[in-house]
Amino acid sequence: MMVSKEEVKHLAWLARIELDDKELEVYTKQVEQIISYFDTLDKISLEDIHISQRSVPYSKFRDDVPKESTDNVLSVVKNSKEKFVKAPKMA
Amino acid sequence: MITMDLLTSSAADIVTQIKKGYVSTEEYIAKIFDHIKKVESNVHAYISLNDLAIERAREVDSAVKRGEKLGKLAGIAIAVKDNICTSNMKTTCASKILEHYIPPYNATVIEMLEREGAIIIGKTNLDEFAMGTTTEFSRFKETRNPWDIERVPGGSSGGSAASLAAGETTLALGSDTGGSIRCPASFCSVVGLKPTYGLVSRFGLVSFANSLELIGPMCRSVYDTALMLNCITGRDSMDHTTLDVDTKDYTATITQGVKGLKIGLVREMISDVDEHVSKTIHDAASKFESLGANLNEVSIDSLQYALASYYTIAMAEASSNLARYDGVRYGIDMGPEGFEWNSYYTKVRSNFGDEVKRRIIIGTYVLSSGYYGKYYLKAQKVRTLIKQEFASLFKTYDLLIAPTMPILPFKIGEKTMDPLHMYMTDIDTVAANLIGIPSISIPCAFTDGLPIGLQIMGDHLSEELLIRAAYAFEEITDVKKVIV
Repeated sequence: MMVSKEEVKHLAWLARIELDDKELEVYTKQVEQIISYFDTLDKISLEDIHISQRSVPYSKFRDDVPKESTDNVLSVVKNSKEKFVKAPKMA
Repeated sequence: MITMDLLTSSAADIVTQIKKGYVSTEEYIAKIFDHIKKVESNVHAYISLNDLAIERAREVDSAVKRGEKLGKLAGIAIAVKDNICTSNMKTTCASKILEHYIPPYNATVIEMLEREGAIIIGKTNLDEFAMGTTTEFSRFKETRNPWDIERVPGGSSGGSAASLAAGETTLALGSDTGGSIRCPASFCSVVGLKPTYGLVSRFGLVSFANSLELIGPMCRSVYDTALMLNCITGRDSMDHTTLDVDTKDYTATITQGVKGLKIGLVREMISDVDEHVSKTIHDAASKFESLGANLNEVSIDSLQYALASYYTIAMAEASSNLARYDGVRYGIDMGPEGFEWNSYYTKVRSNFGDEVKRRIIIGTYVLSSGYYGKYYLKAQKVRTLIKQEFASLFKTYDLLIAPTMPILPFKIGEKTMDPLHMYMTDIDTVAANLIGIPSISIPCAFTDGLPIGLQIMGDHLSEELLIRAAYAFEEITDVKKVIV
């Protein structure tokens, strides 16, 4: 699979990652190399395969009963006002 | 007081002496800190040390004097990989994004180990967010292999493995998403176990790829591994993927040996490896035969697609998991005042290192609408196929063996510029993560002064068997596990 600089630039934007020109150059080559390796998945016929669930069952769900949080989660927030987190403004 | 080498002894031996009052916990912990001070400038295993460790040691000594009932790991020093949350210590994931982050809670495993009396002595280095095979992608320091400091310790739990091999701790915790416990265990000649998915709670493990990863013990002996596993398994209401299975005493059956067990040597995992590695693992297979196991070579055809499947899924999950780092609620704070959301978010995330950025971008690629079916869906189907092939083998075989790593520990800097080449070294470890089975790496031999690890895999929840086989092998081999 060919991967273009424009594609990588767009993907980086979707993931909100800034790349300078040099990074874009290097990343494009590396992304293409890695995606081409993933293309080995094309060599195998998978039509009859249905994605399986986990062989060991998950634990039962607990009842949906609200609990008081014991941790002071807001203690790690630097920019807060009362019980709110201050964030940059949306455009 | 008795004389024992507190830097190299097993947790099992030390805890016995502490409980009898023959060893002072304070002296033992102080001795470890002195040793850390002495060797850390060469090894660089730790990101931070616990200032409260000595105080905790004194509490254990007082409890001994008062004749109180003590936990299974009373007073034992434990090094914790720095992607496992500790409420009184920084948890950085070796990332600039979390450089000063102190979590508001402990991971479940930390609560469990502290309840048994273990003392956290420090947080160990890793590849940023556990993404790597050498610990070179840490944003803070380069951990070195204690057996040859020019070489990598493996990764991503490189700090935990190196601290054990250098005598800087007695026990350690790692996490394993695609081999991150077993690879450094192999490269540093220590024992590392990735348990069955769901056997150990992931609550408080900073997520990289949730469907693949687990926390597990890293130790200098198989017995210590069993002892530590005893303390960390069980259902956790904070992690609904934990299994509803009874806790076990993994030391109880440890001496039962491998006589009569059917063991398969996985052809695809040994066919294309370094010749020293191949010879060593074939020798190990013969040793199991001499212990009374029935040994055959087995083949798992779908393994040729395991690495592509693994990296597709791991990167997809990483791109989703790491979306949470926005610099607003916690972690790095670049002052959101005056910024527009997208530009602030992008600025914050420029602090990720190269490997993390690369994986987020590729993960975004394989999940994007045009390519989802071509990559992610196929990768999940391959995962199912691999699971089916392993399941059919486990109908006949009790255990499977293979090398942990296809190559010997290599020079620092040798592969950092070639990511795909680096990923290829995970070829033998990723299958266990894809299908959720337990896998242990144990020291097998040294060649030219460099360690080689043996990997033993079993069906879901077969930890008892794995530990039995590993213990039997350890009993008849004499491989160095610590250099002080």
